[in-house]
Amino acid sequence: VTQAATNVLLAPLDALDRAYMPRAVKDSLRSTLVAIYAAYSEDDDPQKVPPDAQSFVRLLTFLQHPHRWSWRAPALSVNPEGEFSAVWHDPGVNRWLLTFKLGDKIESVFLATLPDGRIEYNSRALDPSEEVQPPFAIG
Amino acid sequence: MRGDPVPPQDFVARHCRFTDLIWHGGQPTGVTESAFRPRPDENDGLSVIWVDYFQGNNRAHKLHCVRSVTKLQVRDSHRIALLQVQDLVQAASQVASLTVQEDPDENLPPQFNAAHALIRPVAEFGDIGLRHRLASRVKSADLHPYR
Repeated sequence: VTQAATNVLLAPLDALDRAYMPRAVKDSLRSTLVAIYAAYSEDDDPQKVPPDAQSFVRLLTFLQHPHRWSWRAPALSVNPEGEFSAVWHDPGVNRWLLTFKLGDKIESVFLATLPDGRIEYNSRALDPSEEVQPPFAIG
Repeated sequence: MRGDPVPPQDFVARHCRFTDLIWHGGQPTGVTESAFRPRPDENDGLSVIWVDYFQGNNRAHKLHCVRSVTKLQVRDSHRIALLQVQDLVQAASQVASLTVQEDPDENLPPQFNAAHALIRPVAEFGDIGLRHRLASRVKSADLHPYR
């Protein structure tokens, strides 16, 4: 990991260290975060955008609510705009993404592959304060 | 031949950068919709490599062939995402009619790439819902490193 990448990694790692959530979730997020920043570090695209620390902090704030402590650790992704998503998926069946957009919005995308091969797709904006129920079992 | 359809049972490979990938426990486990965003030079279709252009039944051998013809500047974190043509077409079918067509690059070597193909029409990939649908079909086992 380069010095530049280390610098952009420090704030998210610090926020993660201070987050109050189950240790297994925390450990999973840490290893995923380090892998993402290592990948960011080696990517030589001159147009690349650093992962947005505020987006990650908002993702943490969302996950550390006690109502969500039973949820399993999500996978993470960072889109080309630098926004983090938490992702839960049963591969090939269900996928739920929560993207912590720049600003204050959260975008929820749910995809379900039906037995006949059709794919249900639902996308909506979430209010950060609303009670969120996962669309499939993730706890 | 250019413009011919790639057979539905065949596989194609899409290059993925770190922002195209879903990461879990330090490893890529899937792809996001951004894997199917048209790149600046993809005006005529999404660029893929036709994996089954190469002979044999050995998947590892074919992946080596794919690596051999890749012209991109590749990094350790990048991945090859494999998609079966019929799965790709079906996943899109509720919202778009996609085709995968042969598009050999016939420039002089090292640019020459007989296994190049395009997913068309590119305009359909402006639909984020379509891109999410395609991304949801790529499983962890469909992702391969470049080395």
